[in-house]
Amino acid sequence: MSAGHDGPLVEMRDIVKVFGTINVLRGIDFQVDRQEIVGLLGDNGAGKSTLIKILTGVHTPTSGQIIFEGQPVHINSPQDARALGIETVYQDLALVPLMSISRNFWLGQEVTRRIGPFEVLDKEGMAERTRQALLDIGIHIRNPDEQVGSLSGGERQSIAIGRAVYFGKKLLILDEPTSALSVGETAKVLEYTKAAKARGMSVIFISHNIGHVHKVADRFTIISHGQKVGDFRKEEVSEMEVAGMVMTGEVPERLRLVPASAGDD
Amino acid sequence: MSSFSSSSSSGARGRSALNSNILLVLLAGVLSLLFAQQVATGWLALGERLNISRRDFNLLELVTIASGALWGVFALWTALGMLTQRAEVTVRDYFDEGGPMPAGVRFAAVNFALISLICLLIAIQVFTGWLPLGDRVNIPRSNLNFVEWITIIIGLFWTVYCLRTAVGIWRRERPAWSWGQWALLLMTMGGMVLVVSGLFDIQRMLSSSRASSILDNFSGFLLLMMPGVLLTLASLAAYRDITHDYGDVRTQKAITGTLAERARARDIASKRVPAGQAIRNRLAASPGAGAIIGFVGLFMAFSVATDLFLEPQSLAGALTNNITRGIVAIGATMLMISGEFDLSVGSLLGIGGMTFMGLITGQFPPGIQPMHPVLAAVTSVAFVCALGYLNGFILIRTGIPSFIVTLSTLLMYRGLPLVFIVGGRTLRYVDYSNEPPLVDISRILLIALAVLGALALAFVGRALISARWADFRARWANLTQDDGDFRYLAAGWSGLFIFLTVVMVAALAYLLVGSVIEQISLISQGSPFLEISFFDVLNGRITSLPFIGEIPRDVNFRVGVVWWLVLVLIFQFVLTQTRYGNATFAVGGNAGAARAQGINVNRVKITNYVLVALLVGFASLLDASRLQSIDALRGQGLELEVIAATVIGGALLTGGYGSIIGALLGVFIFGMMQTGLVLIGIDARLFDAVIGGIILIAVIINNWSRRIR
Repeated sequence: MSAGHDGPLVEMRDIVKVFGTINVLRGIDFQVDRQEIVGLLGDNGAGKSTLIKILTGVHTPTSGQIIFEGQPVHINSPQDARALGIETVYQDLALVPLMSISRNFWLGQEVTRRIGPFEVLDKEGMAERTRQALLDIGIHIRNPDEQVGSLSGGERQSIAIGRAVYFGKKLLILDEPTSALSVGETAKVLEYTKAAKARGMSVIFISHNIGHVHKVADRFTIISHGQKVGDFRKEEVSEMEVAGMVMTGEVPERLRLVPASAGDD
Repeated sequence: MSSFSSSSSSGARGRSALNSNILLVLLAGVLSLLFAQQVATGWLALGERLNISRRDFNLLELVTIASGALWGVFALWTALGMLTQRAEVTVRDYFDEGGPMPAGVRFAAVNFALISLICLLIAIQVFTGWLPLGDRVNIPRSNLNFVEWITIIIGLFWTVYCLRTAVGIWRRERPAWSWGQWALLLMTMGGMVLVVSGLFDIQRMLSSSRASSILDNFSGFLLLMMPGVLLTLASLAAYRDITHDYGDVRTQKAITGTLAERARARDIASKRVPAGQAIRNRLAASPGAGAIIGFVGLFMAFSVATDLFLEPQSLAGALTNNITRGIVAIGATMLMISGEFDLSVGSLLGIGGMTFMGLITGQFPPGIQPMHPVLAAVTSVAFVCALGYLNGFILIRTGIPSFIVTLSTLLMYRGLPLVFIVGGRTLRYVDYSNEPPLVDISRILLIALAVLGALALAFVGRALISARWADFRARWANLTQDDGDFRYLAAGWSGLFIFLTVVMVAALAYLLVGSVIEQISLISQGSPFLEISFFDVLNGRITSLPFIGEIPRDVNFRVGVVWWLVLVLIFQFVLTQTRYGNATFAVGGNAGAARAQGINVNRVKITNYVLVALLVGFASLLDASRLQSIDALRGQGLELEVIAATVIGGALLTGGYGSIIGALLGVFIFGMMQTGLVLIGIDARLFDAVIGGIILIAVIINNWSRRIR
């Protein structure tokens, strides 16, 4: 792969994180290319959420380097991550249930118009642009003024994804996006994830459900006990093999012969 | 009909609600017959009965017997018809497919024609002076008063509306289905008001006469109750019968499927919503559904229960006594929406008042000179704001729940007045000074304020009038294309609204220009300053109003009410129209999501604590100015009253939801209860108990209406 701004979107090198005496991450290399969906897999306690929290600024690494768009960066707070264009969609923390779709969409960056000395929210404008923006990636809503609380889990995830796409984020982190969704809604969320990729975003997809990850991801990164088990392109491995690696933390015989190509620099 | 066919037809309809409908109609018919029977046997005497023997009926009685009997038979016939009706006969078929007329629809149409006739008769009676209404002391019969004109106008409107609806139903016009629903719903409510007022009248009758129970004067009881009961029963039954297949329930409930499918389903259903559901949807859209229903219900109940309630004295008192509560409730709502609450407001109110009084009298802090009132006001409000900031600061720094933090500061802050106003003493302004705290206000400043107000008026007025005018023009132009059921009413209302807006703007402009001219002429007469008591600026008695004139001495209407309402408007604007308001909702609704979108959650919460303190500080100035004194326990208990008003107004204790207008209505409910309970002669000691019940009912209604969405 070529270097410079055509290189990986984000690259985490030799990340170590120690909590007290516990070695949670023992030197992990992790990277996401542009317009790539990476499935981050691992059993509970493998260290995947710690790795993601380092990327989103919740934790700072004990040692290691993060390179974003070719530049070394220090992400010390969630605000830093946001400023870089990293958006995390958590199951429960994405939207405010008691507020309308439109208000959620524009939360923190509302459109205003001036009336004399006052800045007044442009509600109609925001509602219309919300509807249009969501329609652009295939999400239909009838009424942008509807409360988010009346929507289903999948619809909420979709709207959060649509918001990240609209505001030109570069990296979308989906943390267990499908864990509480019905089959139909899961399909929708996976579809919007692909739509986000088509619009130029990179996605880290974290899930326990290997079936869901396998449907959308271009590549899998599997970690176990704070270490990377391996990086595999989707074509190289079957769903069963991935499941086996997540459970045992061991790379099967067949794959050991093939060098893990995609993850290497 | 055999019991077999009745059970099969109701079973085929499959709606137990319809069976109870039949019972309602049956009951109405039986009651009507009973009424006619009572008159016919002479037990119930109507009209003037001087020197007429019981067996000689007068005209009124004959008409009552005939119409009561006829209507009763008609109702029984309708009930029978509903019972034996085949399942295929539905209201939808009647209007859309040209099917046979269901018994319930016939019942509704005939009743509309009757109501139309009755309204016309009432309007004529009032117009000719036979039926006097309102205060008629020393007015010749031919001069109609305001109440009478209103009655005539409403009566004629209702005559036309009901007649048009009856004809429309007869001719299978689709809009008539919708007109009828709204009219029946309104008449059901009107019937309930009549029932309530009848109950109050019975209570009064019992207490004034020697009758110990209604059985001693059963005919009087019938006379008072029957119109309301019949109207309620008949309207309710007809409403339920003609709405039950209006709108496709299956589509409405289609909540599975994709967003787009649901949207389409809802789009179809939303165009066909029964009147009652439409009102519920509208209520559900505003947080204070319970407050709105409670306010309207209590207002009507007190109005019919006692003539004294609608007197200016009562209404002004209800407002003036709640200025403090109302202003603090604004801040409490903001804070509660952002997910916290403040128990220390009562103590802060005491501190604010004490600081202000202490500074202008030179009593607190000890050993100072009396301070200029404006400076004292600013200082005391700033002090209260600092204490409010301390509340927020402790909360954020320690992470202790706001209940505990502000419970502690409630007790701590109260210590200050307890120490400095020793031994239950009251600090009275008159004990320290013989003249009020006068301030000189430059008339130039007043002119500048008036000019500023005129600019704001021009700006807002222009925007408002042009928007209304465009709306009216559009409605007028589309009158033939519009397929709305109420397009004429909507266009008429739009026209009336623009007229009222223009009148209001013109009146305000007239006042502003007039005051500028007056101030200029006073300056030219060599009086550049207005000397006025600072107490009056804050919360003086309003002695006269423009366009209305002098206010009588016993009407206690205060400047503070104006401050209160202005603050409500300002904070309603902040909450619903600004980015800060949006952030407040988000912080209370889901702090994690707000933080993820870059909102500084802690700063929003602390700002809201300071805003509460600012409002409490201002309220304490108004409170001290009204009573011109302060005591150590001022404001005790305020915190719970304010939280009660806020919760009645629809705010969620858990944050993220609420409205300033709701809190305003919540405080109005407080005020109405205080005044109204005394006026209808209920023991004032029951006030708290009644308020407790109202809080519970209001919150139940709020939750219920929120679930409808």
